[in-house]
Amino acid sequence: MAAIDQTLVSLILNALLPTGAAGIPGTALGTPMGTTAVRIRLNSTASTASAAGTEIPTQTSGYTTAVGGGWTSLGASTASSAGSAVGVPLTTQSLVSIGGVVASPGIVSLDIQSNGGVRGWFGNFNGQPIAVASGNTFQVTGGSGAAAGIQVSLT
Amino acid sequence: MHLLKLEAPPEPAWEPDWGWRVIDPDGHVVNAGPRTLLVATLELGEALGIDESQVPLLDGTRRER
Repeated sequence: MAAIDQTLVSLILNALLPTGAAGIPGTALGTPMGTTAVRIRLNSTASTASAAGTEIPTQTSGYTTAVGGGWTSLGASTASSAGSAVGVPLTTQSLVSIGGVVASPGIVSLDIQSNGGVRGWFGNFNGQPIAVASGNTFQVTGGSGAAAGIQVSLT
Repeated sequence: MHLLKLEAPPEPAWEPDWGWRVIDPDGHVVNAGPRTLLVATLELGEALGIDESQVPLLDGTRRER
């Protein structure tokens, strides 16, 4: 049984995910995820509740490491309503692999973080590790709500 | 000398159940997987060391463990 009212679930989800204009977090609970666009960090090891996994290096195109890097133009996710999940990203994200750890062992996990690097949510990709050989393209589908490639919910 | 311009192949369509995919330089999908679900559960009482089975709910019942 969920121990939190669905309205509060939505407030928390909307405050910590890119549901505001241009992918900026909502402000219902203050701005724990900052006031600029949220980004997705990709890792070659699993993230945990205490620390992010090992970030993949800068790729041939589409992904740059360091604060402010990663996947940055996620688009504005559809806001949670009545406790519904938030889908991330709105816009399909892509990178072209440079090989190395992205080819083996592959992409394992992701962190949804503030533009300044504050972690909000993390998890392993369904089907990880995802091996992306040099020259190949890795994409996470964008979409509105349930169509997005990453679904975040709180119960 | 004129060089032929090689255009990138058009991106293939997404299948409805894919959350991610890997495409080779020729535009072929070599791997794909379902959407990734990040589900967090708030157990506020547990986090504070409270035995929630002993806390009466608004309707007078107690939470089942």
